[in-house]
Amino acid sequence: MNKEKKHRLLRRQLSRFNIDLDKNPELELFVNDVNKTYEHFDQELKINDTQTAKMMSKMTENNQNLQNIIDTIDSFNYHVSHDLKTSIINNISLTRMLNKYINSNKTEKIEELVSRLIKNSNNGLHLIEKYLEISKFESKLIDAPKFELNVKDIALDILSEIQLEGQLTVKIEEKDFDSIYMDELSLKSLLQNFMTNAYKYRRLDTKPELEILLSKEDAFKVLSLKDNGIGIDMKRHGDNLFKPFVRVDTNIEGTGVGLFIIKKIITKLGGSIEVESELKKGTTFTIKIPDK
Amino acid sequence: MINNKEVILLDDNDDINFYNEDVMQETGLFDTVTVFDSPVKLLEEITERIEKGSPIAGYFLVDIKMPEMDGFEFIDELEILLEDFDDQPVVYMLTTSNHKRDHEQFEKSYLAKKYLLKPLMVETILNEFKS
Repeated sequence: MNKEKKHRLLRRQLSRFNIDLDKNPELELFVNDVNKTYEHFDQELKINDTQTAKMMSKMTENNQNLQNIIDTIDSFNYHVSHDLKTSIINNISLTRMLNKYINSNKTEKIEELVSRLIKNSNNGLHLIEKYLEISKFESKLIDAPKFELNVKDIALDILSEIQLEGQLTVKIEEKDFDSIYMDELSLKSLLQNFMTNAYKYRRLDTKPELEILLSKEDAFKVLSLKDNGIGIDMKRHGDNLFKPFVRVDTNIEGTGVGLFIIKKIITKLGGSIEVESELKKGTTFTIKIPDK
Repeated sequence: MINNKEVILLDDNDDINFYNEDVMQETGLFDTVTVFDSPVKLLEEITERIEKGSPIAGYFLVDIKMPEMDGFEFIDELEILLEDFDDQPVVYMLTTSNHKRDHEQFEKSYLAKKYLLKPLMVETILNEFKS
């Protein structure tokens, strides 16, 4: 709208209120000012709207993350309380049975009950120790100082520490980087878990191997860890792999907390982890950690 | 064919089986108390019995949390095996808790109608089977 037109429009509007614009020329300036301010506010409101929308989506994302954490804790508590309860219920059951037979002459039955009671109490104690270990580990991670750590050096240290030198072949290819900014406990736990898994879940007809490839992708350092083991049935276990106390193969000794802890470490670093696996071929874990 | 004088106990925990077997025998309600520690092995046994035309136990007491497959997954498989049967066994789920997770699954199941809290008591079983 041009100036002339605006002027005519304003004169008409003011005449309705019996105000003559020609007698009060300063009114035009005033109205222009008001309009400008209004436009300014309008602009600002639009900016606020976009910001609000951004904040809302961030909040939804945060809520989802919190919900995931709650689900993990809930699932953890469910397993812990179930395991401890089972242990105590076993003790109650066996004691009750002992009470029933104690005055009988079934010595063999009584002896078996006592030995079951002892074994079961020890198992209960081991369980509690295991849970305490997990929470102790988590609290250690909280303020652990970070350094630039050479992945190969740490990996070879761990390999000899867990006494798998010569039994598990570890190959490390430093394609795009050789060190990563992390706390030592996290990197050690991570590598140790993948090494022991590569060995524990090996194929009996093949020498176990773990290939670690260090590469970069956009703003991420990527560690891909590939083993030649028995593989994981992803259809059956894919969704649950990183949940606590999930055991893929119950014939192999384990507690079901390894991948749960790994996922925790990586999430804490703002990274992600993915799995690809084929039965009887092997498993590849791909870890992406933001590079800073 | 269903044999109401047989009860099958399924739990991965050996101590629980040892105790439950003793409790079920003490009730005097059954001629045969059969114990399994693996749902997979039990499904194999049932398949075999069906093939041979041997009777299936009238009662099942099934643990919920087992590593190979959970109790509800087992029941789903059992339902499929017994699809053509006129008579169906009565299935009790054995549980240690009142966790909501177990209840949600319980409501969805067709065969599993009731649950029993561990540890089992002779009196509870006698009361339950009176009706």
